[in-house]
Amino acid sequence: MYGKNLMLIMISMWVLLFIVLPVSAMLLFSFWSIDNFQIVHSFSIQNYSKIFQDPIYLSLLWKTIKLALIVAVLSALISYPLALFVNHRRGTLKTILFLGVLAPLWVGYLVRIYSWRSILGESGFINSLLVLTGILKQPSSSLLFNSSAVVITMLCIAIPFTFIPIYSAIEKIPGNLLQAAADLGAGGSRAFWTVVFPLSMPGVVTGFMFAFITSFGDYMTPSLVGGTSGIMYGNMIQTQFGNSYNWPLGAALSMIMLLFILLVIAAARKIGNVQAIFEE
Amino acid sequence: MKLKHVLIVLMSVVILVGLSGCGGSASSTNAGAGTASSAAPANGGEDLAKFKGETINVLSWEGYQEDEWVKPFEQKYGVTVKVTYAGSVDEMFAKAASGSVKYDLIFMDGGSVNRYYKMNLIQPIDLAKLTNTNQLIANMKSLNDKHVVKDGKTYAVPFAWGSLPMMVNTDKIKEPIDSWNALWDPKYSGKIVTLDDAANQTAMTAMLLGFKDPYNLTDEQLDQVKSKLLEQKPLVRTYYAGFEDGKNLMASDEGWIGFSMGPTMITDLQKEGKNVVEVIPKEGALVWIDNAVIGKDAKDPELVHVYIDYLISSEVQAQLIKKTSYGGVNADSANKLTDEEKKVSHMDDPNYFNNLVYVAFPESFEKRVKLWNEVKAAQ
Amino acid sequence: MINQEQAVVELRQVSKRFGNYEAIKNLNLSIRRGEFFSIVGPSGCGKTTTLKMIAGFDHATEGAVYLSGTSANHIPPYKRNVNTVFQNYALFPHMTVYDNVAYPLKLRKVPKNVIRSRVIESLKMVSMDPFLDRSPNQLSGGQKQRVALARALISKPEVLLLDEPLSALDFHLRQEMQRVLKHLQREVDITFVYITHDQGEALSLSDRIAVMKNGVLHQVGSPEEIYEMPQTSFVAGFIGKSNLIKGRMEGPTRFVSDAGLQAMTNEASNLSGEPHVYISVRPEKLRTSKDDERYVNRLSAVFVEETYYGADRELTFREAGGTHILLKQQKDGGNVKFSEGESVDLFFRPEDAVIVKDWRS
Repeated sequence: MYGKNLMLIMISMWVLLFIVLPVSAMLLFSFWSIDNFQIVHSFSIQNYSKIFQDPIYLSLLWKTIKLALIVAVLSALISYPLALFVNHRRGTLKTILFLGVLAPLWVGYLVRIYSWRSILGESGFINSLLVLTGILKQPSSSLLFNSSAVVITMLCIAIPFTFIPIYSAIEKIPGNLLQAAADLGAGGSRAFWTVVFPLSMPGVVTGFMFAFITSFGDYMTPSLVGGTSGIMYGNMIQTQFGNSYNWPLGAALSMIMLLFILLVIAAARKIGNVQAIFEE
Repeated sequence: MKLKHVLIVLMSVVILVGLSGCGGSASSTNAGAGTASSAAPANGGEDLAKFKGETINVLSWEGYQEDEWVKPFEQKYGVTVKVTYAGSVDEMFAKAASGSVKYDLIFMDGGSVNRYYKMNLIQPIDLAKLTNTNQLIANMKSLNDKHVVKDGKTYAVPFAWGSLPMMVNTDKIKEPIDSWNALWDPKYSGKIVTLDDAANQTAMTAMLLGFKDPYNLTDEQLDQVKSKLLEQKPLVRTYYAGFEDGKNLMASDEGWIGFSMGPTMITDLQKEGKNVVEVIPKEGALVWIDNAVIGKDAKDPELVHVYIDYLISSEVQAQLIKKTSYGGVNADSANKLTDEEKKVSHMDDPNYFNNLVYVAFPESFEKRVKLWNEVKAAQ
Repeated sequence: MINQEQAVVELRQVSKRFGNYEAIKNLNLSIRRGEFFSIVGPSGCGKTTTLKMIAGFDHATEGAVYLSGTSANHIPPYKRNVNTVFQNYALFPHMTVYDNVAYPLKLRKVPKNVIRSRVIESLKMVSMDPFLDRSPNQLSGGQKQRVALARALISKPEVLLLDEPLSALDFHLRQEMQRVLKHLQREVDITFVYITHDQGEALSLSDRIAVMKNGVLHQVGSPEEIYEMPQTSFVAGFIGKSNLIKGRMEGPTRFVSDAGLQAMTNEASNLSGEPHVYISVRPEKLRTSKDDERYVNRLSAVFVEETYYGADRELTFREAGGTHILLKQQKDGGNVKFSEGESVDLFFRPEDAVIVKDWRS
């Protein structure tokens, strides 16, 4: 009982220090304004009205949402068969495959982005291969510095985050349910669509959400491999806290992003609400 | 019952955090008040022992506080130079403005001095306490003073400088380049790289458009700059995000011609065997001058004056040029350099400055950031 | 012998090995259409492996499984006309009770209205029709079991396999479910193959029982045959309680124990050639006095203790060879009290003694 209380205190402290306090500070800032590099501590909604009046903010928000959705969908589509495949292997091979999928997580964030740049670049791996095999006469510049490069680079980090929840959801499905399905007349693919897939949905939703959120907030990838149009909502926020020194506007932009992410999480919980399924 | 427990816990943490916050700020205010009264009189004759045991907190760029010149100073006066490095202008500003550490000495480009001055983060420098100011390069100093002298008081002393020239890969581009217009030339479409930086992009484009003061633009001029940048956008391979990023692009031939972040970028590429040259276009190029300023709450301003004086001496400046190939500010330091070193750092050419435009404090950072974001966001 | 037409499931010389471990050794088994057949044995006896081979989840290493006379070795589970009720019910947690039961029919693309009436009919059979829209998580163990039964029976399989279906239920629920199962089997007239480690359950439910140990079939027979005429010392000890005394045959009906007990049996034993045999006498067949002339076998023993069981009592003795002897008596006024260490003569009739093979493993 004592241990339980202590745990509760620790969790509350954590939530307070790292979630409640910073978010409250951010919320407070978002209603302030800036004048001649001094923050004006008086309540106003001017930051929010600016965001909703100037089309640049909303159009970037929409662009970012679309990109994050594409990344999340692709990530789920790639991770799912991967998770099924790894799940069906046994022993050492399984461990190796599992660690292999997670390998991108071992590499630093910037290193990963630069690696993709050198893979996709004009003198990069893919171009060299295409020229060497004679598929291309000269290196193509269309692999890098566009939205596909951003999507590919973001997928590299999103896939492990999508893979893990899907994998564990599939792994958690009791073997006797599959036996029951086969026993009652479902062949391999019928059993998959009627049992495995619906029961792995919570994992898919969680993984989708992870991929969506990580790519939603990523501003380094677009600015390093996205080319001249590599600006996302996150870059907007970053410039407000940086060069433009408009923390209140940056805070307001962040609050809108936070609100949006919370909406996504709420929606995802609704779709993937199969939590209590495996009570023992 | 359970909810009540949670609430009590939350409340107590709020109180604890609140108290510790108050305690922290109270004690630092005391420290500040203490130093203000301890200013010692200026003294030309050196009393080496009088600073013994003191510490100077320095907020600096990398490369400015190297052991070669910091260690001898520490030994001579028995003081400690404690250095914090910042990675970007924003980071430096955030560190200085947060007030969690009271920095005695801060380095920044002359254009930023205005911002620190407006926020009351710095104090004037007593030039009478400095012995080396008469050796500063004259035209550079007068250019700099326009931006760092406020109400007749000097707030900053130059320490190092660098230009933002154009870089051209002569293996790929044979024709002579002499104008920023080359970055708008459809011939080089897809091979142009330029800097992802609102203030400098705006200023460079303003220079190309022939606006007199590229850091003081009207809204109409800003609109023209924006259309010019939009015109350039489809030709650009990418906007690079930093020094290494830009070098990487030129080194891998993704870019053949571009807006550089300084001569060091070009000399680094040359060391890698790239035939990349520096071009100061006929419209001029930007030049940043990094200055040393004294923090508002410096513990011992007298010691900081002594250190600044040391840093702008010809000996330290020569070491700085040799080590970093930035431009030095002390004209006499040229005597301590080889011809090659002079050439690389442009210390051999006093007229170099005549074609350069000072990276100044713009009419509005926010407008420029917005302009630049709009250019990038345009489809 | 059973003729081919009657056998709905048949295992012919089936062996199953997992690596070096031999789970099933040369098993021959024939299950008749419509019977309630139990396979009973301690854990590790191979009963679950046998069931999995019938369901198609496992395959014989040697020999073959025949379903209705055709070899089923290469038929996948979903094509076998055999359904299973799993030990942990295996209800689909993401479907309602209705959808669980409808599942096999939906797979067969049965028209919706037909599905509905059959699901309801099937759930009525197990009294679960009021719970149509519940999720399996909202059901008790017994209710889940009923739904699992309804689901397994709805497509009217030829054989229903039940893998220890009652082991997770408490005592009273288990008794109730036993009744449900028994009635259900009569009603639907489907062959039940019932796996259990509980010999009491097997005796009360089954038409016939197979007793297995360590992958070997010891005996197949009706509950009475198994209980009254065990063929091996293991069966005698595992099904009900039995007093087993080691000895040898001196003539077809004459048993002599190692410690010198002499006893006559009714049936001539074919085990005369064996170096060791056991004589098995059920505790309830022993008497402490010679009730009538038929009690010709006398066993001298020493009283050890008495255990009280309400309606009856169990007396423990030790015979000359050191084996503990159990004697079960109905409680009535005339029960004699013995004191510890007292010498007592115990009596049994030749027809109550069975000579069994020395086969404990």
